[in-house]
Amino acid sequence: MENAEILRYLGYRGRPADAAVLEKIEEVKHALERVIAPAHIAGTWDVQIEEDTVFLAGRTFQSHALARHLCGCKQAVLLAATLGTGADTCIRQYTASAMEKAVIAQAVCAARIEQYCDSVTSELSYPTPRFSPGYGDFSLQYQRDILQLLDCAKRIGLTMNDAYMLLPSKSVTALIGLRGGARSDRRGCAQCAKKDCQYARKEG
Amino acid sequence: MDIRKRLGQERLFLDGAIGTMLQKQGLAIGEQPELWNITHPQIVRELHSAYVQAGCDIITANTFGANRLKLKGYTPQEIISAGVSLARQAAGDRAVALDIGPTGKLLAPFGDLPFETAVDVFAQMVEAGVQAGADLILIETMSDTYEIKAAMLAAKEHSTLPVIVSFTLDSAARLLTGADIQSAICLIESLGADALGVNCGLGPAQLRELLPVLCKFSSLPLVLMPNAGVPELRNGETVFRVSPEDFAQQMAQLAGSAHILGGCCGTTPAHMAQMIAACKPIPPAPITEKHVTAVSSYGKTVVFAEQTVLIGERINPTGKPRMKQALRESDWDYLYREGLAQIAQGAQILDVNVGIPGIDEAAVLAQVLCGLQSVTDAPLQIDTADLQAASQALRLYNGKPLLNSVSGKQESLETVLPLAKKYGAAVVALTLDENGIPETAAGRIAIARRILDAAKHYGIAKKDILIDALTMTVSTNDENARITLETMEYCRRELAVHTVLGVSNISFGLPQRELLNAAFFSLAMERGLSGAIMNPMNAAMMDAYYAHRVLRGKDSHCSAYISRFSSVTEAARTANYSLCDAVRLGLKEQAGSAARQLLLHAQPLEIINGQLIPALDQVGKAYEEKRAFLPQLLSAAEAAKSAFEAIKVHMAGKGETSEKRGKIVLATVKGDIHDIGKNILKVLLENYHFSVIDLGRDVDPMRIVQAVCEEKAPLVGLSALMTTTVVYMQQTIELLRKHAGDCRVMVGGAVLTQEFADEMGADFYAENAMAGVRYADEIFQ
Repeated sequence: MENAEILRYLGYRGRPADAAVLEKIEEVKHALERVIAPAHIAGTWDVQIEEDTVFLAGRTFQSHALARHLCGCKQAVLLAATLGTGADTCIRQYTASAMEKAVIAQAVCAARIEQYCDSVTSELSYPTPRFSPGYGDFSLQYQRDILQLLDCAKRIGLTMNDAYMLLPSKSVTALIGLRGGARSDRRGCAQCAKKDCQYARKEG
Repeated sequence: MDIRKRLGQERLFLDGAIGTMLQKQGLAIGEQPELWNITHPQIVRELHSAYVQAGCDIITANTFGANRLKLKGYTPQEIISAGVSLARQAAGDRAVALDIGPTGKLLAPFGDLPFETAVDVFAQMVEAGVQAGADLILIETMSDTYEIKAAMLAAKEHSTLPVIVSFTLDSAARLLTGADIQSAICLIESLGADALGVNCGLGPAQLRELLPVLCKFSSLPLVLMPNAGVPELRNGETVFRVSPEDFAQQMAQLAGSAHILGGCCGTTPAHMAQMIAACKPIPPAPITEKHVTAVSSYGKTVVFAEQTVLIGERINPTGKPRMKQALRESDWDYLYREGLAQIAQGAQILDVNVGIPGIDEAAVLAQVLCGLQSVTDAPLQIDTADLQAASQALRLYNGKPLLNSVSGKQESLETVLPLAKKYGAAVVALTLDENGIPETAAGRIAIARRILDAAKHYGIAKKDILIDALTMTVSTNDENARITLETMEYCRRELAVHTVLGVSNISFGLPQRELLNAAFFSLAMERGLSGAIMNPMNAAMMDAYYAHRVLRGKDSHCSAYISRFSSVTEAARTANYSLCDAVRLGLKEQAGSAARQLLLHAQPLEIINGQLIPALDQVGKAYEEKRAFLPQLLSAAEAAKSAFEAIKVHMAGKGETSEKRGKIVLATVKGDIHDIGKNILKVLLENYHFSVIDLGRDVDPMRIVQAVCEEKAPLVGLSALMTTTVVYMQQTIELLRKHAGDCRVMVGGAVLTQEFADEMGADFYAENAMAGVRYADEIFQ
């Protein structure tokens, strides 16, 4: 896991961090690695797209942004991944004892779950980037469908609350389109519609 | 024959999968199988019949997810009544199990489902199952010890049926919320299950590796219900690849260690028929009682054995003005920090005592206990004389608790022991009775025997009693150390029961107490003390502990001892910094010691206004000008906090408290669980000497209004992270306007903008935490 990613989440915007902060990042990484239990489920379904509607596994997903994202894909992968409850406990522990480490842990977890999602989908051929509920007009309410289709509560202990927030909190659900040939040239932050994001990766 | 009597006496077969079988018949993925009890009863009944024909002894009703949190359109009673009746029609005189699976929600503190709600959800299922005529209860596919406890309490409180509990392990042999096998077993046995085991998650081949661990810790009949292999998702379909032949062959290799066999996802009547043919001739090995004295949390078990267990005694207000103040001010974080610090020094269990006059001890103990369990997996010792507080704490505790204490008094035996039995607690037993504390070892031993007899009468095994031989100070009687040690040693060796001692009482009223404490501690360890209730922050005590381990040959290559005395940070710790520099550089310990130095000749207010606030302002300004970043700002805040802590201890010692600048209520709004922004603001506001009432996360709008009104707080800060929860922020603001007209509202959070904040009618949009502090400064000017 690269420190650059962690520092980006901490708002450094490419500026260097001092030795004391770097030392704490290492300490937190080490502590987290002992308590997290990354787990995921992924499944591939056929998809059909009609205008702003995506049909998958007998369900419909209404979203212009998602339809555009999956445009040209015949299949899509549903992915759910979590770092488990240990990450949340660790952050709570730091919140009570050393708040600066709590924000560092928050950033480390964000980088870690992204890295984990990358690693478990690295074998996919010609995938689109991940697209999660909450992106653009893709409503968070579809969290329910993804969790049900993948049987997440039972299989990896991933649930949500009434406001569609994932629990444990260090978790990701996403759709990944399979293009079956054509590779996209836009990845990561470049493919996102939000252009004024303070956490955006620097291009190039 | 009664199924309870057959469990563990003979080989029994449970049935196989229901959900994956119904999917083959057209049940859609994500659709609830239990609804088919009503919509497709014929198919469900035929499936049960197929399992009966395969030779299964126990038929599981199709009620796994029939709880009110999951069901839509039907009540649990309707589904369960239909489900049990379908199973009964097929089973005839074979046993029918009410099947109880997880709620599908994550329990607090990991998730948002309150423990008592979970108990109630399960209770509804149990009552429906009993009414429908189930013969036993199968609690299965559990991946959270807390949810297991909720389901087991519901089963015990609402039925007399036998209970089988089965949990699910991941490939690292842990439950999804972190418990290892030993902790899960410790909890399940303590709550009185009739059999326990593992299902789902893994196939028989993976289960084989874990079987020795299960056998090592369990004293109950084992149940094994693996999947037909590890599930694979292929083109939207879950596939299980172990054939009936292979399943049968692999199960035959496990059969010698388990009494009850069955199958989970992907298994079919064919799998069961072949398994039964292969396993029936293999006799299960007899069950052996393990006689282990252990307590657990949701993630960890501590066993009382040869090595003395360290029980941290610091969370106790007796003689600690600062702790009393924290309890009166609901400053829970202070208590959590005390807990975490003791664990960092080597405490394995934390004693928790919050008894001060004038507080609702039951409520505070529950709060602190649950709070501690949200930050640490160290088992806790519930220390209270208040029965109601003990009862509630035992109930809410996630794990097998340790209760401090019962005594030889008749009333204590009659009230405490039944509670301990119900909640599966191990109990510290004080060797005193109506006549006080005997002045002879023989007298104390007699009481110990009486307590053990009473415990037996209530069904509590000897392994769950820890005798406290009572340490009395040697300043009042030369023989006191001898009497205590003799009693302790006799109980351990002759009565074969474990022991604990509150070590530091030995030196009460004498000078150089730690010298006597450490020497007495060494003697007690040498004579077989099982658990020491002591202060792990005291270096002399810990030195004695590490030294004893070395001399006893328990510290291989003296490595723990060596690493204790090779502290690399010694130089850094002793370097001198001014308070201002220590805060600016974010050096916690130095800030604390600089403050203590200053307190020798300066007034607290001078230190705060002359040094602390200017240092914080400097860092805050650097942060606002983007010369410093969040971790640096918060390091400085934490350093300042440790200086404030030194000041608070100083003042509490003199019976003084410092005047706060004003009250601010903080909350992360309903639905929202991401509270880091609110927590950052809290730390900073406290540094600037505001009194912060932190309501936590996922807070109902009305509760925020109530708190604002009750506390007459002029300012409230709300945070929300997601678009879905901003709605609740708006609701909260509207309610505040209605009920607490003159209260100012500041808002913050990732999705918010100035525009959004204006639209909702907030008074201030805090772009970052420092902006929130500046606004508070303005309001309380």
